[in-house]
Amino acid sequence: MDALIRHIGIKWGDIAVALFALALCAGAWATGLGAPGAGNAQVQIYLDGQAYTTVPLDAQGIYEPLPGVQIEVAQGRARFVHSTCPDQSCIHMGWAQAPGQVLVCLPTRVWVKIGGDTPLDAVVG
Amino acid sequence: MGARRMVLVALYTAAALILGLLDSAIPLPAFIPLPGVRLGLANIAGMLALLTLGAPMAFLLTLCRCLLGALVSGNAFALVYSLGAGLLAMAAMALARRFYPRHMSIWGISMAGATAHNLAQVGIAALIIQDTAVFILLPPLILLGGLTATLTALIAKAVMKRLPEGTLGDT
Repeated sequence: MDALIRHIGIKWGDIAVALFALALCAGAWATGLGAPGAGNAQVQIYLDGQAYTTVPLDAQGIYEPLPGVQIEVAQGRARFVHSTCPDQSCIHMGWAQAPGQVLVCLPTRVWVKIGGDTPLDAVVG
Repeated sequence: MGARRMVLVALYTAAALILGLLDSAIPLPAFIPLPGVRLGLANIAGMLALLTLGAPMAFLLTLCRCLLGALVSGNAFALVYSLGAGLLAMAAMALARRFYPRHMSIWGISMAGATAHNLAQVGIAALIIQDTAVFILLPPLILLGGLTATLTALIAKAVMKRLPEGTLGDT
């Protein structure tokens, strides 16, 4: 074991960094817990920090908060179908359907959050 | 700053810019649907600068390559991210470097940089959209960062091994 560690060259500093990274993961995940439930799942579309519109997740349609930026809601899911951003990573994020999931397009300041009850039964603490 | 160091920082900047362009040319978001996901190849130059020229020069490098990178790619919007995340990443790497080489390996320095970079990006995004919902993206970004950090650390280590003593600066 010792020889293995020496060969790979892992030092306790590396482990500290890795643990810190994992702690960040846990913390970030925890911030998503206990999101306010509002009954049925909804698609919340935001533009520039303000709520643009909120539709039920089972709605159908295409919403355009900004010219050129379109969000499609269909079959209980939502996604970006078109955007003017250089990256297009918002579109690559694909479909969002579970409460708490977000789709973000930063250059255009448009983002989508699926709100509603979380899949958890209860959050204690 | 002597002429030699100035030239070295300039060379590092050029290398970092090229690595950055290479980075953007690889369409990672297509395979991994996370905003801002990239290989972080420019950090190879950053780490080498940190190890051979020291933290102040490495910070200067970060500043230069972020500004020039935004100019070259014509994407001024990205500057907010790249500079913020880049400086925080360099700060984390500089901190990790203080424990190198006795208690920290190059991987640790790389991972510290990658983690700080992702944290900064998500943090800036959260500020822009005024919501903490984006933090849900941090865990996969950090885990992926672990992989890319391993890659950049391996490359940086390989470069250091193959260059003659003193080529890049004073270790």
